[in-house]
Amino acid sequence: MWNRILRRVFFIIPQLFAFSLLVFALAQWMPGDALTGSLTNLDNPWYIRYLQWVANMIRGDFGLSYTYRMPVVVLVGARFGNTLWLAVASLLLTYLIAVPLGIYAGRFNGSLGDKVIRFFNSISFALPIFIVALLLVWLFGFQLALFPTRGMPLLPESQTLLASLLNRVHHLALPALAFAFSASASTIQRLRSGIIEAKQEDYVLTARSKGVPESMVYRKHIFRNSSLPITALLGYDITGLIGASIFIEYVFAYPGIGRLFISSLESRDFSVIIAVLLIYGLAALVGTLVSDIILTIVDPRVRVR
Amino acid sequence: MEELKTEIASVTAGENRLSHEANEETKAVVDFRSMLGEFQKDKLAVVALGTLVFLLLFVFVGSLFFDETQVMQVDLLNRYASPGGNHLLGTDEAGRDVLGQLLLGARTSLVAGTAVTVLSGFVGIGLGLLSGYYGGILDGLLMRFIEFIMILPVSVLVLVLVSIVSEYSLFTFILLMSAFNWAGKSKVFRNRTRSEAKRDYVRASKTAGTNDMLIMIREILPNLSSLVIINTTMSLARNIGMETGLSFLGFGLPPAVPSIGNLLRYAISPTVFENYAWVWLPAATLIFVVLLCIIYVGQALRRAADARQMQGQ
Repeated sequence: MWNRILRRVFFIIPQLFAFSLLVFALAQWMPGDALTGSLTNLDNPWYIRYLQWVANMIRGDFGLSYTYRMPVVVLVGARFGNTLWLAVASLLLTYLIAVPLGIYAGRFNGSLGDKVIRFFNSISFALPIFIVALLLVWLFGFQLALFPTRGMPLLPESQTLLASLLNRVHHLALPALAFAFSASASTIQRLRSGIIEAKQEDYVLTARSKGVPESMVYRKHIFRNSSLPITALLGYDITGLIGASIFIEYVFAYPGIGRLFISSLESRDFSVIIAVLLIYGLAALVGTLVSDIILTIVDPRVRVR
Repeated sequence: MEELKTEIASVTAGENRLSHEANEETKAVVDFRSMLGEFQKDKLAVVALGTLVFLLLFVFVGSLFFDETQVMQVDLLNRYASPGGNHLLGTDEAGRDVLGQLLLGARTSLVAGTAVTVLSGFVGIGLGLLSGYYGGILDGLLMRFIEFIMILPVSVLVLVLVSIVSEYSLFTFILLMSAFNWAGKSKVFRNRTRSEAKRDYVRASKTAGTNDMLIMIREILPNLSSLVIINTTMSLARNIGMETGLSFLGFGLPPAVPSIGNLLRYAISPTVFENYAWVWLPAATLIFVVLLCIIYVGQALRRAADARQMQGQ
């Protein structure tokens, strides 16, 4: 098993290489010199320029932003934390919503609650994420005036840690909810189907006939088996999170990388575009790597001796 | 993305027999006529289909009444007029009729979404068939390449492509959107073709000397018809959503062209959002209902195919 894991980890190297080539090719297509933000170096053959670029990146030099007139690293670094907060909050909220609902729908299959859950599932599946975001803004932000709808202002240093944390959570609530509402649909569906299938398995019948209480049957046996697809796909969820975060940060004017990406696309600030593209690609590759490793570990075809 | 996830889930869960309704791969194929018969029993799905047809008619017939240049004529004296009178749904910030924009925009969005689906469908199904049927080195290479594409954050790349190619027509836009869509479909169809190609009827045809292409198109493909229909329906919904999303961010159709995404862009500004809801609310509702109907029909078709398969057709 460790053989397979090691092979999978090493496989990321050609993936990174291929991705960096792709980004490099895109950068050539862009006017000017997207990779250093300057107009030099255009005489060298492309492989020299590629190696130069990689060398620069390793040293931490991602070029200069054209619009902001500052190193791209600084610009991105300031926003990265925000997006990370949003990502963690979104994923947490998604699983918080999806797991109980999925289990309920699977366990009480066919009941009214199950039908309601499935109905809302169809809706959230159909709605593009930015429409969900807009509707949430309208409902909670304007009609009920419960949550702030824009930005992520940081409290001054003098405020207590708790106050800063609460401020953050307050501003994260709507964006994270928008993502959770949209993303929980597939998880609920998968969990529900998994539980429905598992309910019919022999080991459940055995457990029940032994006299094991129903809730323990669910906790120990059914849930353990059904939770596999969810945990394993967590890494793949990261790629979906990337696409969604762009829309969410745009609607909520949340100062994260997604917002930066859109504004740099609008202003044709190519160095920033390239840098953000690299970050997204890296996140996607690492996410799938993690998922693949988890899948390898829990693959029932691999018997541990 | 969803296709990759369902495939991974089915691989790991295969041993535990935790296949589920999202798994289109390991189930046997179903004749689509019997699937339609099963579909008709689902009343809600029939209602959804009916609503969809009605909305399509509404959009396509209604848009005939509006002339694009006239609708997009800026009329600043009429800014943000409330619904009623001359303008049934009011006007937007430049005094343009909202209803006209809605219908014309919906038409463009639907046409673009359908075009992307058809294009990526042809490429995806075609490559999948060829790759699954012939196998070999090319198949292996293609699958590696496709796996790489499927991992990448596609929406991000499409955005970058759209911003690089600054001058584009509707046709180029459709091409850009289809650039990555075909990959997932290819893989799904390739896997199915591979399992079909091992079956007896294919071997019999090969022995009889039938042309490979004929085998693929006349024999294998009809057996995949249920998969084609379900897959196409779901990707239609996704593609329409993608086009709307791109326009919403400002990277779709130019602002002078009416589109649903452009109408929704107005919702970003808080004043418009709160006070002039007639500008964006109808657009949001229309796209929501259309997508909901398409997806519900797709899910119902999938359930119908599953039910038929379990009955042994």
